[in-house]
Amino acid sequence: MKKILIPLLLAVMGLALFAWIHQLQTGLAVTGMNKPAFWGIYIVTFVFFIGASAGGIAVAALSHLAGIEKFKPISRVAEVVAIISLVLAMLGIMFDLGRPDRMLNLFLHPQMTSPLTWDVIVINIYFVLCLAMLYFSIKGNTKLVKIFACISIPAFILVHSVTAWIFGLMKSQPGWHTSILAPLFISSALVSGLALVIMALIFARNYLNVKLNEEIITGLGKYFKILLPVLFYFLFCEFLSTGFPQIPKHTDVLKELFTGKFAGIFWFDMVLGIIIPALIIFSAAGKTVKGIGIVSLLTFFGVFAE
Amino acid sequence: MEEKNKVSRKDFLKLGAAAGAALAVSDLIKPKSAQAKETKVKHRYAMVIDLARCIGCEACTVACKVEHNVPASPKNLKHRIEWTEVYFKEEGKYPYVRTKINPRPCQQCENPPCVGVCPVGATYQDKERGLVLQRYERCIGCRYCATACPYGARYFNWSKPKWRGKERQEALNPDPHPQIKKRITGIVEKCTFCVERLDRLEAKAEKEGRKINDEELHLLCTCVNTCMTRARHLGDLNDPDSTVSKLARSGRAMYSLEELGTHPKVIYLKESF
Repeated sequence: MKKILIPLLLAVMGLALFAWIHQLQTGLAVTGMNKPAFWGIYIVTFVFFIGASAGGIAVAALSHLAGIEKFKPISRVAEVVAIISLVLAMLGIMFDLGRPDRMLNLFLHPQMTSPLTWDVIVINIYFVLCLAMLYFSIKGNTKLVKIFACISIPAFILVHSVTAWIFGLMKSQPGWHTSILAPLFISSALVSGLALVIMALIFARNYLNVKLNEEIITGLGKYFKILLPVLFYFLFCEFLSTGFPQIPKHTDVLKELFTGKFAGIFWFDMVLGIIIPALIIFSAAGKTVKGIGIVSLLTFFGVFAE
Repeated sequence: MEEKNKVSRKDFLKLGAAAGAALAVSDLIKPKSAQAKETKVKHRYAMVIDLARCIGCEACTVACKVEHNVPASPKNLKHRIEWTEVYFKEEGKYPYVRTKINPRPCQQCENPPCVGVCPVGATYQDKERGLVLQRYERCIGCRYCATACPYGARYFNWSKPKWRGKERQEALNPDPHPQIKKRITGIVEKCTFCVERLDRLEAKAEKEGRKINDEELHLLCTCVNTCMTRARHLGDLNDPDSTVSKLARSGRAMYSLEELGTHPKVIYLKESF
């Protein structure tokens, strides 16, 4: 397995590097982003990985704080997942910037009125927090780990809320300008983070021959029973409150989602991302679910603002 | 509506400042400072666009591109940069068809959604004149401002700016104003209400020790100057006798996306009553 995997991953990385250099040379035009859709796939990945990281840390904090014995072995996996996703998220932002060489301006000339600056601050604090948590859990300092786990829960809620506010506080984009965006982001973050941790566990068990109890995975899977309905409920609230008053701009966004350009992605997410997983979870065997779709969906929302 | 808003905001500021003064022992904070903020903007340069006169020739767009070193449009028109753009919208069914023409420079909002959103302070509102300007050397290209602008008045340099197929030199402005200097890939740019001309005029007026008069100002911007139907006017809203102020008081005056509370300083005159 390892023999195939490592060259494959290296090849992908080389390709990505090549693509990035190409982008740096010719500008962001190569990404296919354009005038009404200023933000594209990079921001989607950023939001998604922030979410996954928040979900990962939630799982870790849960196992530390609630003292659920059977989850103890996986807390470290969750922490590592959280940190890696966070790094990926930050990379996503770096690729997205028009002038990555001026990235330090974020620290040299921060403007406090911008939700993006809030996000930079919060993410950095959160990153240090995650590292500290991992460090002390490796060292086996349970007391400190518990303290950091305590702080990490409000921190992950904050991180994801601020990320949602980057979008939700803009009056120019009807699909984003809604108060439910932050809770929606948090619930989808938990779903995707949980999914990522579970996938990492299954990968470790099947391919790297790590001994893992089946119970752990099914035990984690149970949380989908709460998270998925909550997510669905939030989405439903969102759609009802944008659709019912029939404000043209808002209904345009919905139309585009349900039947228009984004219908494919939207129904893929709804059916494969929520309904089928929910059916599986509530039926006999529920194991792996990808919560990916919802986040990506949301970011596509505002494209049709105008 | 406009008046009412202002009064309530002033009252609110007074209230806040009064509370601050009550809290602070020193007399640094006084309601006066809050009031000063209201009237601090010396000039409120505004543009009036008469939709009844506009014929949609797009000469304004071209003139602006030439004046400001704006790159030529690339093949993908969604990546084009036009500081002032003309939108066409067809309405109705044959035989009752008409095209609505809407020229759109930057609205130079008094309450701009793009400024507060910039994480590095690359875009700012000129304190003296209330113009929304861009610091090209600081912009990191996150495009938050472009997303936050409800008018779509901000443009991103998606690829290398080119002029007649070549990489752009300082084409027609060999000694350009910092606001219209050659831009680079990956930053955001926008309409400045021809700040380079305003600066020149203000310097001239100051040298001669007089105020800028409305006649000088009226045709100052390139887009205004080039408009052959005289659909555009520039002026100072703080001067109640300026052409712009007079037109803004007329019954035909309206604002774009007024409901968002951005207080745009581009005033459109309806095609008819």
